Amino acid sequence: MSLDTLIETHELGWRYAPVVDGGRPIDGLGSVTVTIRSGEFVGVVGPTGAGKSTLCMALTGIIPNLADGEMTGSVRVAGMDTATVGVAELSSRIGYVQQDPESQLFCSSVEDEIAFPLENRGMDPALMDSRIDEVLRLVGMEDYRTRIPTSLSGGQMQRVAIAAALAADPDILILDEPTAALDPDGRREVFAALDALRRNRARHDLTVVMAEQDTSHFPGWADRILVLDHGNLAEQGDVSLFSERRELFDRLGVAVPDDVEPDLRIIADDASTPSRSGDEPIITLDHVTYRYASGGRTDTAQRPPALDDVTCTIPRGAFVGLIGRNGSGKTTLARHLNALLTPVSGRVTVDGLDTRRHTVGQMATHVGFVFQNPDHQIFCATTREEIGFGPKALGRTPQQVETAVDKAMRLFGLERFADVSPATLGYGDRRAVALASVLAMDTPVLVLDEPTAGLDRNLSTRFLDTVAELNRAGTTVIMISHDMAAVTRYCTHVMRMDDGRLAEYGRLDRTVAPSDHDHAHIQDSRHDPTHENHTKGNDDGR
Amino acid sequence: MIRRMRTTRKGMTMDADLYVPGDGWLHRADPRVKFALSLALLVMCLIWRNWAFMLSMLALEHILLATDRVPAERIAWVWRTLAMLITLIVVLWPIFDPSGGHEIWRWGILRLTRENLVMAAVMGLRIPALGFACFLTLFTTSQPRLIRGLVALGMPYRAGLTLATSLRYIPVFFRIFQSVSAAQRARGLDLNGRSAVGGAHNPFSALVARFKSYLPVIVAVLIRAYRMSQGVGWAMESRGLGMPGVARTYRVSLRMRPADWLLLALTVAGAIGVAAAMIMIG
Repeated sequence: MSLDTLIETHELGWRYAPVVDGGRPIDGLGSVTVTIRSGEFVGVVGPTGAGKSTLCMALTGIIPNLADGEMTGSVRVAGMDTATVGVAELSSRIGYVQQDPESQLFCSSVEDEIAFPLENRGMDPALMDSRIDEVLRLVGMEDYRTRIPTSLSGGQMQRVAIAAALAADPDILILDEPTAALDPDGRREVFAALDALRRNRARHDLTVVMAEQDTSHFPGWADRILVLDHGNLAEQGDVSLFSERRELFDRLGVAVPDDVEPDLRIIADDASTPSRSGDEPIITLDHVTYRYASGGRTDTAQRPPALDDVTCTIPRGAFVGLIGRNGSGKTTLARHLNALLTPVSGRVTVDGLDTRRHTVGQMATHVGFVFQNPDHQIFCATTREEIGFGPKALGRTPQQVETAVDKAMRLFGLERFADVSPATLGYGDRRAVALASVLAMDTPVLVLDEPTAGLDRNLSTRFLDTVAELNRAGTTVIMISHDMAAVTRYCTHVMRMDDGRLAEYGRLDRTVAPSDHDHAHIQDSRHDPTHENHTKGNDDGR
Repeated sequence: MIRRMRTTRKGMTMDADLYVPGDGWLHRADPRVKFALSLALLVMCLIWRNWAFMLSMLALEHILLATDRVPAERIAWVWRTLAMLITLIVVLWPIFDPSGGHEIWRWGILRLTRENLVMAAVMGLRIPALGFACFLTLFTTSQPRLIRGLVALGMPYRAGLTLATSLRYIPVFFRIFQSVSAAQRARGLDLNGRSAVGGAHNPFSALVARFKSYLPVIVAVLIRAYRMSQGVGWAMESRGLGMPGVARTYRVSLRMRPADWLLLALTVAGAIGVAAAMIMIG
């Protein structure tokens, strides 16, 4: 270990212990040897399941100290062997930010989150307040000091998590996909905070290791890029790798920084008269208005509507991209399609059924709904049972259930997990099980809530190609998405929501040149410089 | 328009903690005194089975919360949360306790008497009385002061942190439960115990079916809770929890003010006075 080497892994390998008795260990890392110098900014990229998070956990000492599994090789951080030094002691040199904001903010106020690591280090209480102010200022959260963390947006929560990781002035900051769980607004906030931190780090000689799917900021930030694939280091080098080894990133499904998201152009349509196209409508929203009630309040009429007089029809066989900023009403609208919500006024008709007259269970035979978080869905002991649950609940015969399950598993390559508990699978595979579970219900309408969030491009493409195949076979698809590339590639129609209103709706125009201003021109919120800093939240609600 | 909303991923919403931020007199009171107040109310409500006494305790608890300016919404939330339990107890009590000399109505083994109806009412009132006794402290004590108070009374720090963190995540898990319920219902799960295509049941099998229908939701919530608790544990250790050779300090300090001593004295005197009065009344 040379003098300026701060982190050194030598043939680092890790296998996660089986989650259930008799299960198989899950490979995390194969053999990773890497050295990181003091003051370096290192970006770690790779497809879903490549081992990025595992590497981050190994650098913090969580592997092998807290996680269950078997480690081979060694990790030395700031001269300490992580196999013999505990996580708490390592934390005197390392700050760590996880993917999931909600499980790393456990205090009842922002200031308490920052105070926690200071108290653990025995800091003089008289000095804590100024330190709390200092780190909150660094991430632009000084005005939120007394707020309850759960009242913050995802991006704000991650900024607090970064501040908490920096509070004790570590030498090393490990960021494990800090934007993976966030929407575009949240990602932008976190990247802005990290940019401020990056500019500040020269003064503090901070070493940063950042695993991330979104590579767009690495060219200006990173001194070195580590490319992981199947638990091994596939390549490393400076940011010129992105251009020199483009084929590698394409093969791995990692978006490179110069990938530009397309602008969407839609043929503005009079949503109230869609029948002019002659298409048979499968979904009709007729002056739909919806307001959320708040805890204990009955004055719902005084609250701004989450859906405000939305009228449109969706033709059978359409593939509709439902886009808009956070809080614009996308999820609220989607939840009206299977009666999870019913309108305060107006009417929703899906596949000939008025949703106010049918239960969610009855609508389930007509509308399949894939939620974004697969963990809200998965509960069965085996993948086969999980995928068969929906068809069985709909009263299909055992033979029909078996046929549907086999087909869905084949579509997503899940046969090898048929008898494995789906809860023990990696994130990408859990998403596949969740999607397969709904597709097996074989409904004429399919609603997908952010189906590609957190997935690499290869997995996203595989998922959406499968959905597109069903769409070509006649299934109507409504896809909530911030991924404009996916919307452009797969959708026939686009609905853009804004403040609860249907701002734009029509066919996606694939023929018109970009300069044609006769057509709507819309982009995702991340490109909108005038976009307000929405506090994302309750977006189950919106 | 900026909306104040909270979330991380879609499908996963979070909401306020049990603690209600504020600066009322109960908020300012030393947590140790509030523990004593809550404990005194809990013990008294558990000892005496008298409807007038329970009503008085409930009234006192509401007055304490109202004068601390705890929003009426939060108080209503407690009633809503406990409503099902209260109803169950009031309905089931006469079934399982057929005692009493003043019979009003009888059908087989089911016997309604003046005594068991009064006791059903007392038990129905006892649930919110006990609940509000706890919420007096939980609504008005921030997490660090709660932990600090427990540690000051001799509880190990880790135990206090675990307890306070568990309370902090109750609303989070409640909302996860709602999200998971929505996801499972969308797959045809009917939480009334019927399948999506209907089907008749007798009352007993309907009850069993209804209970079984919640299993998918409970299992999924537990899986999510396990993953989240693992992340919380890792976050705590990676921020130095249990750092060897370090004496932990606390940003929040506790100090018994004259007002705290007064509240403690009133609590003790009140408890003794109530006990004496109840003993005299018999």
